[in-house]
Amino acid sequence: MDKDDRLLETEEPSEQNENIQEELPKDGENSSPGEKETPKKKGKFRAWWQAHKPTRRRIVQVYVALLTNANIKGFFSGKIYKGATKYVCTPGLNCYSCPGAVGACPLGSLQNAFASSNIKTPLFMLGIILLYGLLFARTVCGWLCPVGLGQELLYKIPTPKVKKSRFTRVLSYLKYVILIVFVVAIPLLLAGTPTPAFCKFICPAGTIGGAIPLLLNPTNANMLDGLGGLFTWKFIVLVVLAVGSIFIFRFFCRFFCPLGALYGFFNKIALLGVKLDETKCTDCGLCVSHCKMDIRKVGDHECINCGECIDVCPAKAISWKGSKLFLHKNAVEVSAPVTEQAIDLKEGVVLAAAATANAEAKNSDPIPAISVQNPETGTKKKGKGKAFWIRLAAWCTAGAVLVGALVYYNFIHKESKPALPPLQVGDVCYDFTLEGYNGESFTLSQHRGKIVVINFWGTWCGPCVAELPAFEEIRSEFSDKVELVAVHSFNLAETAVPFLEKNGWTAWGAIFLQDTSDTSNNDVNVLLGGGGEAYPYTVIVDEEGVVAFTRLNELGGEILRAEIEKLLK
Amino acid sequence: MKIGKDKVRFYYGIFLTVFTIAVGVLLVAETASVYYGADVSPYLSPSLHTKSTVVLVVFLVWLAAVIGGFVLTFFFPESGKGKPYVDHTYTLRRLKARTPDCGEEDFLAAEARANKWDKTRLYLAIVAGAILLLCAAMCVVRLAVGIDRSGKAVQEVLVLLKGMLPWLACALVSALVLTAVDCFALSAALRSRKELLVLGRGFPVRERKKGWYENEKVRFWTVTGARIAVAVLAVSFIVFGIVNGETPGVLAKAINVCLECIGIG
Repeated sequence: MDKDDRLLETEEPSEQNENIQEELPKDGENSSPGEKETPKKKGKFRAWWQAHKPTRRRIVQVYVALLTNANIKGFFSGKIYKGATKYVCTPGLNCYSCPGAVGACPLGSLQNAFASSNIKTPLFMLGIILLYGLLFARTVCGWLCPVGLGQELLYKIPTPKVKKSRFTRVLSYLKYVILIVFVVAIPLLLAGTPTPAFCKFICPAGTIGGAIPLLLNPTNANMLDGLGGLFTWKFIVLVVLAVGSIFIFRFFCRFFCPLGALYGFFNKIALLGVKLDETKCTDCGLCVSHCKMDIRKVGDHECINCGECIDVCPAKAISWKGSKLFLHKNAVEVSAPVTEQAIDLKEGVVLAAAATANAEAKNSDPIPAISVQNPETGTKKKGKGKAFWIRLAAWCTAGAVLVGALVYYNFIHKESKPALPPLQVGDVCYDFTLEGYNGESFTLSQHRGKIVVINFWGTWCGPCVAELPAFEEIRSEFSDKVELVAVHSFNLAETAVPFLEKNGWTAWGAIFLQDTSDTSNNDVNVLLGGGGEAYPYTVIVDEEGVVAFTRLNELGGEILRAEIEKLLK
Repeated sequence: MKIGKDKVRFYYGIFLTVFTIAVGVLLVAETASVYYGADVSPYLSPSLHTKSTVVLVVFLVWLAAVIGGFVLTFFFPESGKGKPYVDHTYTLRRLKARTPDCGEEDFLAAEARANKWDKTRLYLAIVAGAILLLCAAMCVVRLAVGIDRSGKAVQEVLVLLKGMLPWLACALVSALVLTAVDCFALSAALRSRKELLVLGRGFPVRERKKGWYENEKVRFWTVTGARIAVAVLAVSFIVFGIVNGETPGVLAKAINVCLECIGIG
């Protein structure tokens, strides 16, 4: 059978595979039936361990997930980390509302940057995305993203799997639509009312990493009454994505993740990742057939740079970028031509024949086969080489960084505690004095005899900005009996006045105050039981100065009106 | 009767699939019933405790089934990897690279048929691109024109999404239908190319002209230039952003719980 005949046999790859598999011993069958029971069990365990032991990539994924969520005490205290490392964006998807998160989420920060684009051009976040794209591109997806790790672990559940096809390739473009619509267009077009649309409507990291750990903690019981339609929708999305990930490899990454879509643009120029040597490539297609992502070619915009194709390539045409700098060159053994090597790899005659066909088309000899071995170690050398010591130093440094982070965030860093116990409904409200933007001060005790609605808000907070106009309407309706006090957070205090002037809110009858710029947890929001870390927060104080109602999240005009009418009765 | 190992794994896999989908459906149904079954504060209603207990018990049973599945893989390991994925566009490319240089009549007629299928696939791709661009443009128009900035963001976004849904659905259906049609066209193109190999047997392979992008130096300098440009842009954006005072905004959002991002409010 000549090469053309082999190339024509594209209809029966499955038959070829079956024939090849019959020649090879099946798993579980011992080549020496006479062997004793104990060595058989050892061999079985060894085989299981070889098949299931954690790879280097898995270790790195777990390491990064731990490092970016090192504030483990947050899961027990129910509070998020509020320190300086939150200036830094993690490269992968990691909700900053997760109690363990020690960095900011790049996608959430990007959406907020677009949402604030009417105030400031979002250069900083665009620069961060460009930098991560240039350095890592989709290596983030394959090595650094905790959401990717979660999906791969779910995929290990032993059920039948949905394999990739041309349809999944088409569906993989859906994430670009989500990027354009939810991450870019909606925040930009709704810039007056900050709306991180992807985080709000789709992102599963917020639900699993943020909502569930916070809600399960008894200290956040006041969040429960805010759950409604939006939480129902997000929980359903989370369940669908989790179940989908069990049957479809990286279900969220491939079809829905806009961060992967964004990084995919940089895959070709990134400094880290896999690369294909076109001069060695015989176009056999083994890399594409082995890969579980919807790639057309190694290193294209769907490639997550996991590196699993490196060992599969018979021509050793795939390697890591920068590998010549840090690793030994592969040892080469000239043995059988590629065609026979490909058959030994059980991938069918047609692919092997294509390798030969392409080599002929290039008018070159068939590329000598290279024995399949670990590309990083090459041939065994006597003694420990330079690569060993570099690797050891890298692992030691990484270990020290992780241990240091865990110790710092959980034992050394301490959030300051409030000076007074948190306020509850039925307590007499603490008195406070704050400065307004027109120079006048406001003291709560001087407004006894009126119902005072105190709303803590921020210009970056979409729900805050959305509900205040409704509050002002209700205040003007009950103006002789109700006072509305809107206290802006000490965060981004300088944005409050320009925001009020731009939106014409300075003409309202509501009193706008500035919370104390005190990062030691003693601002008025904390004093009145808001915790100082979630907005909006509304407190209604009755005529006698007793706290009648509190709500930690969007309240809405109807509920406020009902509460006021209840008090007036 | 001796049950084969593969069959045990297969049937257990089917059982686990059905169980997983059932648990998923139960979770979704219970979540929806919590919200639609109460008038005010659905997640504070007393029935939530009962529903949560039922769901938790079912989830724990499912978890036990999953662990059982992992134990099974130890005793009945996988014996084969199944059929590999074959990308037929790869095969078509390799067949094109092998096109013989033959001048006979029947060969030229067959080549004309093969080229006709290539053009059909090209037109299909153009039509698909045009439909997707049109749907994308309509979505953007709906977004830009239909947004009401009165401040009711949630309601407006949901209304807009409803307006965009027909166009999104149209884009998805068109993409899937055209992909299916392209599958048939690809099969026909493959058959035509194979016919060429048969008819041109014995003739040498036709020489192919290399494109400019296949020049190694051009590619190297293009990639290097792009890297330098992106690096300069990234650094300058970050520096200008810091000078412009954008970093407090990142911190402000990161150190406050984003209630709407986690589904509250």
